Amino acid sequence: MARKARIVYTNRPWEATGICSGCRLCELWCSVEHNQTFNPVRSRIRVVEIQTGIDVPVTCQQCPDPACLKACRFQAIALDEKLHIPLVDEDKCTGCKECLGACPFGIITLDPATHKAIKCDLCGGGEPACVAICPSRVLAALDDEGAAEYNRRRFAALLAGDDELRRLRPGGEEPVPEKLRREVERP
Amino acid sequence: MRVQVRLYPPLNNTAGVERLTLELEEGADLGDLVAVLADRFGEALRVHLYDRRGIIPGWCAFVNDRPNPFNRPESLSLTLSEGDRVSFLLNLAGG
Amino acid sequence: MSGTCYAGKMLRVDLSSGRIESEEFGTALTDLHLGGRGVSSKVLYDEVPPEVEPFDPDNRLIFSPGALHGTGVPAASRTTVATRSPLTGMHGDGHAGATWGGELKRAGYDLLIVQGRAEKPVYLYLDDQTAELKSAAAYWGRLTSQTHQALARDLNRPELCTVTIGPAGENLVRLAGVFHNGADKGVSARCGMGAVMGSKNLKAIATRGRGEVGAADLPALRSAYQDYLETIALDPYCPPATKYGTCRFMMHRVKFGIHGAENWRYGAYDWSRLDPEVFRGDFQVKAGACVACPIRCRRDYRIASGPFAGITAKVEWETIARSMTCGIKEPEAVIAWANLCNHYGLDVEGLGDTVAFAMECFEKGILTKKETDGLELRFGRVEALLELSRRIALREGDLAGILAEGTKRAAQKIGQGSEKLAIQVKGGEMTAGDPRGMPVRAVSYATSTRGGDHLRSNPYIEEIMTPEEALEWWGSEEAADIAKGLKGKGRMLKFSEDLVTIGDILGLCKFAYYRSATFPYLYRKGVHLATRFYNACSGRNLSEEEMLLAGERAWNIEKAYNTRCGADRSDDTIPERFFSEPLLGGGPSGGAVVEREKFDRILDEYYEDRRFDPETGLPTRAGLTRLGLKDIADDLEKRGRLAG
Repeated sequence: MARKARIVYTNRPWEATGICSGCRLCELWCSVEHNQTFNPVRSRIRVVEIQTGIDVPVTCQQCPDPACLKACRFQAIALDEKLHIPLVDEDKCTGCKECLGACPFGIITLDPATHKAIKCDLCGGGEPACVAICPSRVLAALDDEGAAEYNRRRFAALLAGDDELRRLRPGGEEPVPEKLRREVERP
Repeated sequence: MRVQVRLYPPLNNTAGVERLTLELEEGADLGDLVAVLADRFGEALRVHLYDRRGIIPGWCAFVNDRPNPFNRPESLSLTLSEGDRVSFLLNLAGG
Repeated sequence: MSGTCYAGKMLRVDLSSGRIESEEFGTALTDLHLGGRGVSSKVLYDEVPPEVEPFDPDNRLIFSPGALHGTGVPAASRTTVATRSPLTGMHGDGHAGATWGGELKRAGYDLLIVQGRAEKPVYLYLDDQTAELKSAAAYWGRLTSQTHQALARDLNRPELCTVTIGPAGENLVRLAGVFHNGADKGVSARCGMGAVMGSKNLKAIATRGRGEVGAADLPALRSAYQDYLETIALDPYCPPATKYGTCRFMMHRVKFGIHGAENWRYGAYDWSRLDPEVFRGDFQVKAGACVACPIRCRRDYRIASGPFAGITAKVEWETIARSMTCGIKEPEAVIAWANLCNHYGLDVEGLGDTVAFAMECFEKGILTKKETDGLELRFGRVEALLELSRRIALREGDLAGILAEGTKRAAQKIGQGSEKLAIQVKGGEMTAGDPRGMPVRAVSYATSTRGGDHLRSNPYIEEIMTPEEALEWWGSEEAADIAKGLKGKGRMLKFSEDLVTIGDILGLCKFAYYRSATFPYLYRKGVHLATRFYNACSGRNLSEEEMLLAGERAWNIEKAYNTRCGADRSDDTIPERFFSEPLLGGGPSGGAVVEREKFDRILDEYYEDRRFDPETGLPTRAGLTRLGLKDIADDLEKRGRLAG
């Protein structure tokens, strides 16, 4: 039985290269995977720059009870039998944009070229283009269990709050800081 | 004889160590030192030191602060002495 | 051209008349010049003759995204901005690794030419097919960052891309840059083009584009991408770039002792607090990236504590280098200075050298507290650097007004022998590391077509080539000898200039393609893969030789431009300081000078290989027509600026 998966931002904030660099290669190669052209606005994964130095890739989390599906008056969004994720049927989509307003995360967007709603389709079940291209390896297609582990982590960070998190140095430290690992070796 | 070796990026990151003391045979030269390093730290380091033609010419070994760029073949035959300080730096300035 | 990396159209904006016209952008330009700096250099030559001064309305601001910018080719992030430089009076250009150029393409244009002058401050707004000039009254006087954010908000376009000038450009400071997407993304810094933009009363170009950039042969593109990834996995150059960012070049300067500290007098200097480990451990936000780049070597640094706490700025190597030129030794000062320059719209390179010049004048008594309005303008004085930089951006006070003209003009104005302290080439301030002890590097600063600059060439390949390779390529083994080699160096310099120009034509980052640990890696990335990427995206079938010719062609056009402005061999030189003052401070290069006989011999060989007249440095008809530039040869001849 195919297991549902979703693209998760699996950042490793203790590593300088474990954080989204803002390179936007995911946007460019998602676009080309689906449209054979490079156009970030037609990508199903988008990098949002919160402020200088903070870039976050966001894409569909494949909600089990999708708001987009419920908002659609044309039955253009349905759960795919193979992948168990909501997918847009372009033949039925009228470009009315109600799903855009319904998604609480702003994930589903309108393709400016086709005027149809677009969202992450996990690249049809193969290795997602964004996961493959990310040089920092901060994107992963996780199944339910994997995604739950990440959600737990995030919730824990929320509970720890800013004060505890600020104790992490700006550049980040590995779990065992390099300075401690580095020793003068004797032959 | 013993020499003090200092590794700069990417060698130090791959080796997991920045400074080390190496024991070499009497009369060993810089080429021998590179071989010892590659043996010591394995394939992950070797790929940065050698390509299919031999030792990568882009390295510069500073022996007691005197540069010995590896694109000068005589550099690799420089004989080392007890207590020499050797640093490996990648050539190719930027800006 | 749909389905390729080209949009197929260009836009011409006349700020005097307000007319905006879309024209075809086709093979007339792409055949020989491809894109990026290739196209902008040609357009500049054709449209800005020497009768047009840099601040005349008829000067052009030419915005030319690299041919591959906007595609997913790795590190195809760069855009060229070109103009007649108010700093050098000759060819000027700058680049930036930021998304504005790609947005221009997605809005439908491969090229944007701005001419004329608006009566009142305006900005150009491009939104897909819409193009209009709007009043910039609400933005004039604001910082680069404020302008970018305010425009995005006022136009209701959260993902707006902009190029803007800060107060420095508005005040026609010849050290002003053109900033892409705010203060901390990218800047076309050199040659004073921010001042040209200010002289046109153009505050910003706000752009939103939702169109496509294509690739003619996707399988070929994917295959080349794989090859590229394999190459950078092996090349030892790349991991330290990712780990440390560009501040890691400190180690090279330290080991060779070529800092250029205190206005290019000291080669060895106290760098302990500017150690890349300090930047990485105490200030680094993360490993950032320019668009489409897998190397991720850009850095924002944030100050957590102390008097400058809370300041964040994009800081790259040259900022650290020019801080040392001003005698600065603390990282907090570097970051704070970068922040000021980025927001006020200044070029740290030129500004650093200009302030250092003023500092040496002060230390030698040529300038006193009377002229500096009480400022203690000594090397290492952080508050003096910051305050003087701010004043220069705003032209506050007489001295700031003089220094705002750049080092060369400031020295001419101040006189009293200060010309010897102005470290500039053709009016463009010096960059990177000290050339004393490295003969071909000295010549490379002299031959750069946009003034003192190390990015025009990559003579560093002398450090990685084997004697066998040097013999094969330049006819002499000694070309691989940094300090002692002479024969073959001139030819190597020409090649490295053409090579790097390819990067600017295609919009490829030099750190991703034109820096390597071996010559085969360098050639593989910078010529072989660059050509494959271009062919895959454009649908053309250039050979590697043709790609190198494209680089050579753009170089020759720029050389012809400078010649037409009156430049000759006498301008291909470096400051007297490097010839006659031994490098101070001890260290590995202590006591070195640039030996004039070596300099001249390398320049002779270089001119011969470039097909310039060896005595005058003027281009020859044979050299230009070989590159398909007969029209330029005719034009130079008409003006008496052709050799023979």
